[in-house]
Amino acid sequence: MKRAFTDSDQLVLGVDIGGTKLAVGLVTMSGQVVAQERTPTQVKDGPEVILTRLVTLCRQVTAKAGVGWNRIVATGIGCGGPLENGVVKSPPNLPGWDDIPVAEFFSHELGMPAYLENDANAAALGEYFFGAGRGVANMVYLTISTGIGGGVITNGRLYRGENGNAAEIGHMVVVHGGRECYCGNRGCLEAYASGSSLARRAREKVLAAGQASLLPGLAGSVEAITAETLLQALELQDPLAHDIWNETVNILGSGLASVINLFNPRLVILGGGIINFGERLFGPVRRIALQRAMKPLAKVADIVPAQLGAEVGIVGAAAVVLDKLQLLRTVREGTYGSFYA
Amino acid sequence: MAQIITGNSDLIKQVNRSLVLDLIRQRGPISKADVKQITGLNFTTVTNAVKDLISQGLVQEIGYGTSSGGRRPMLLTLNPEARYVIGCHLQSTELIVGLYDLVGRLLYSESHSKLPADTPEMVVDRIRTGMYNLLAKAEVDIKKVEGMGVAAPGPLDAENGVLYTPPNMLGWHNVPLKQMLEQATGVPVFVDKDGNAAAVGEVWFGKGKGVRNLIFIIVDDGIGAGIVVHGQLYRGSNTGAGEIGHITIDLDGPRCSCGNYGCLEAIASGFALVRKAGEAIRRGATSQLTPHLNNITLSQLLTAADAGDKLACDLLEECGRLLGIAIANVVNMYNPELIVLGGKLIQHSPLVFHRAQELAHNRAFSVLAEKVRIIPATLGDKYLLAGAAALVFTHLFRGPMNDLPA
Repeated sequence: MKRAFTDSDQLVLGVDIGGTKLAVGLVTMSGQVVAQERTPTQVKDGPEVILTRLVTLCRQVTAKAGVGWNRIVATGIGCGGPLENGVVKSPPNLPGWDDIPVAEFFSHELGMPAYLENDANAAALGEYFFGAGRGVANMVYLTISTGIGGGVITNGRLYRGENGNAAEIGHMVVVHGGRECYCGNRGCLEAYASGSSLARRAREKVLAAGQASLLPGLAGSVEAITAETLLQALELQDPLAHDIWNETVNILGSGLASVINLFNPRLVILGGGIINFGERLFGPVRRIALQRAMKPLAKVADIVPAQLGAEVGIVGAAAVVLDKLQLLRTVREGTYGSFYA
Repeated sequence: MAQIITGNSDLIKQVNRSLVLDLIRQRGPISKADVKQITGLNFTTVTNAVKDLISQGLVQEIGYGTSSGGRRPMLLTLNPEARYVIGCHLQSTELIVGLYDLVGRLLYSESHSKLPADTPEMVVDRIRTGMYNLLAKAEVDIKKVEGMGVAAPGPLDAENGVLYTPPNMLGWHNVPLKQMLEQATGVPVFVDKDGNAAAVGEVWFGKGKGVRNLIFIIVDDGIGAGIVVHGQLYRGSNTGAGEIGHITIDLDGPRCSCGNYGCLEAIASGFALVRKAGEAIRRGATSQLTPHLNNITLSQLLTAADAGDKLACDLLEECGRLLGIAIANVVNMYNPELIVLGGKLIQHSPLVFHRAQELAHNRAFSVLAEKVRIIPATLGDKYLLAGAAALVFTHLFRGPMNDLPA
C-alpha cells in the first residue's frame, strides 16, 4: 500500500461540519487523534457565526495539544454535499449555506492550505488510509445513519467525478416506482434503508398492520419509533420487526449488488449507525449482495463494518489532506515531470 | 494509476516517442520546432524520436513549410500506409473483421455468421481467415499489421484477454482468446469488453474527442457499458467494473441471464422487449407481431413500432423510461461529463433515446444532472469495429501512458 507520509511530526487539522454537531481534531499522519473538541452546530446561527466558532475550535485544539502552529501542514474539512471547488452549495442538512466558500475561509483565517470534501468521501478516505480499507485500492464506503452517503476509492484515489459529486449511492434506485425520496426520485436506497426511512417505514407498518407488535410499547408511542427501537424489538423476536428488517436487508443487499456490479470493488465498507445491527445486518446483506452480483465480481468482493467509529468525521477530514498531498507529491516527483526530462 | 515513473531510460524514451508520434498524428503537417514547443521536450529528444519514427516508416517528411524567419521548416505527417490495424467485433451471432489504416480509415470489412454453438477454435480460425482475406484485398503484407483489437462480450479479463463466460456462447468458459489469436496470427492482440471498446472508439473517432469523463452505454440485444475516467478506462479491482446492464432496477423482476433478478438487461434490453412482446400477445394484446409470436425479433419489433403498432411503441416507451432511471443512477454514481448511448435500440428508435434522455435529466441529482450531456452515438453501425481498432490505436499512439488522446 502507498502511504504518502509517515512522518508523525507533521499534523493535520480535521474539521467535521455536521447538521447537529461540529468536531475539530488534530490528527497525525498515521491517523491518530492527538486532541479534539466537539460542540453542537446550532444551525440557526448561520454560516458566518458557525465558521468563526470552528476557527476558534481549531486554535483551542492546537493549544490544548501544546503543538506549534508551524507543525500543522493543512486543514481538511468534511461537510455534507453538494459542494463544488471548495464551496458549499445548499446541503439539505445545513439550511442557509448557499454558495459559502468554506475552504477559502479556513485557509484565509488559519493561514494554511484548506481542502473541502463531501463528508462521505472524507470518511471513505479515512477508512482507506486508517480503517477497514487499509491497503485496498478499490473500495466503496457507505455510511448509513440518518441519511445515506457514499465514497468510492479507485486505484488508491478518491473517485470525484466531473464536479466532485460522484458516488451518491443513497440515490441509487432499487425499487422501480417505489417509495418517494426527498430528492424527487422514487425508490432510492435512501427512501428505504436510511435511519429516518427505517423509522418511518416501521411506523407505517405498525399503523397498517393492526398486528400486535412490541414496537410502540418499546418506544412509548408509534410516533416515537426509531431505528434503535427496531433493533430492540428484533432482539426480542418481534415478528413485525422481523418483516421490516427482512425487507430492509433484501433491498440493501440488492443495492449493494448493483454497487459491486458498477465499481468492481474488493471491499464494501458499511459505516454509520446501522452497523449497530451487527451480524443481523452483515450476515444477510453479504449473502444477498454476493448472490445477486455478477459472479466474477462477487468472487473478489466482501462487505465489512467500518473501523473508525465516532472519530470518522475528524480522521476522514484529515485523510482528505493526505489524498491531496499524495497527488501533489506524485506530480512533484514526476509522473508527468519525468516525461519531459 | 499514480505510479511514480523511475529513471528507466527505455520507458522515458518510449513515452517521448509516443508523445511525438501522437502529436504528429493530431497536428500534422507539423515542424520539429513546433513539436518541441508543444511537447516541451528538448530539441535533441525530439530529433531522436523523429529520426526513430522515420526509420520505422511511421512518419514521413512531406516538404518545406513557410518560414517564420530563418530556414524553412521540414513538415512531418503520419504515413497512413506505414502500418495497419485489424478490428474484430465478436458477438454471439456475428463476427465482423475490418482493416484500418494508420489514420483510422476503414479500408475493408467482412462479416461472418457465427452460431452460439461454435467453439473458440472455430471462431479463432474464422478471424484468422477473415484477416488474411482483408489483407489480400488491400494488398497489405501481414508484417505491416500493428495489432488486432477485439471487442468481445464481457465480463472478461482484459489484461490477459480471457473471456469468462460470455452469454449465448455455448461452452465458452475462461477462453484465453488473446493467447489463441496471437498464436494463430502472430500479431499482438488486445481484447476488451464491447462497452469499453465502444467508449474508446467514441473518444478516438466520435463526439467523445477531448472528453475525460465519459460513459458509453450499448442498448442492443443485451446492455453493456464502458466508463472512461480521467482519460482512462475504469476497470475496478478485477476488470469487471461498469456492468450497468446488471444494476437492479426491479427488485422482484424477472430472472436475468446473470442469475440475478430485475437487472436493467432483464427488463429493458432487446431480448427483454422481445420476451415482453410475446408475453403481452399471449395475454391477448393485439399487435402486428402476432403472426411471429414464437420467434419475434428485435428488428421486427422496431419495424412494427415504425408502423405505429401500439404494443411495440409502448414497449419502446417503457424501455426508454427504464433506461432513463438506470442512467440517473449512473449519473449519481459516476458524475460524468458525457453519456453516449449506442446500439440498435438507440440507433433505430428516437423514442427510446428521447425518453431516456428526458427521464435521466429529471431523475438524477440536480447538481449532477446539470453537468451531464446525453447524446446518441456518432459512429454508425460499425461503432464496435471502430472501437476494437481504437484499442490498438491507444496502444500505438499513447504507449506507456495508457490513456486516451485529449
